[in-house]
Amino acid sequence: MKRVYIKYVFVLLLGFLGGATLAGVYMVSRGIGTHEEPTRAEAFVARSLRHFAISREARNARNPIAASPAVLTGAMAHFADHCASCHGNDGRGATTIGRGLYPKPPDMTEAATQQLADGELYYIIENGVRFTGMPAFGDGTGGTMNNESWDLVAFIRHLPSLTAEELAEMKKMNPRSPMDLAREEEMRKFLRGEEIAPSEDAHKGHH
Amino acid sequence: MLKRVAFCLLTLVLCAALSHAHGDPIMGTVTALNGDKLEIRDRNNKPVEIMLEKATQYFINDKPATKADLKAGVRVVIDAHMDAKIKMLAAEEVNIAPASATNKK
Repeated sequence: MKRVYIKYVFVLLLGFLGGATLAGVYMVSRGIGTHEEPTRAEAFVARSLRHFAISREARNARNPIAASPAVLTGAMAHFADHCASCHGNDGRGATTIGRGLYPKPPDMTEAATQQLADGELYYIIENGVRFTGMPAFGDGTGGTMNNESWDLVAFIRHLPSLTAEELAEMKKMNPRSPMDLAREEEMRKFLRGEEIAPSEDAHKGHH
Repeated sequence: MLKRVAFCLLTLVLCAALSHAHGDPIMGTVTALNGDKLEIRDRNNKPVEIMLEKATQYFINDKPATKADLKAGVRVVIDAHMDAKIKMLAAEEVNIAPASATNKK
């Protein structure tokens, strides 16, 4: 009996060491940079773990907020201010920060996000996702009572049908640094036809 | 209180990262549009080719515009990034000068 037990531990240990070696080789061969996309296997494992890590009760929570125009307008401003720097105003994640994350933010207009339950989206907004760039926006005490997060869930559902007018509105609501404001003024001058000092190949250093 | 401080810090870090990583937009005048490839002359009169993508957004005076508004001779300001897959600049946002603007070279 004791021998069988030792054999079990040995096999487990060997499996663990083998797994750790493979993971190490994988990390070394791919590096630790964030430019690449996770492999399909990584994405599958991560999504499955996320699914199981959200309790059934949380997952089954229904959005108590009806997606009225007033709710969507408020959530749109909230999204433009808090979420768009990574997710983009259109939710596709094609932003400077978004492109640099590992994993990249998902295209939230696609099925992988839209098919998540309301409760899952709410849980992710409130609690964040470990080992990704998604922070927790809740303080951990709100349970399922944070209406701002439910409003955002309603807005995420609206993302696939976002209009060009809404995108233009959101653009005005995005946070701007003093440098951004100065750059926008320079852009406006240029577009009005005014002459501005030539730059030294600005786009070459553009990321 | 702690949550607010943490949020402010996160916002500051994100803004700093964004302004650092995001270089100046490309300003220039449209010379040609071949399918999805936009050719412009930048402010230093150098030719630049930029790929227009499905997700590219177009604006005139901060209002929605379309790719059809891109005509030769029109001034544009383009937010773009180097796309490693196509090895070309890919446009995220194209701001187009209104028709009323005088396009001086």
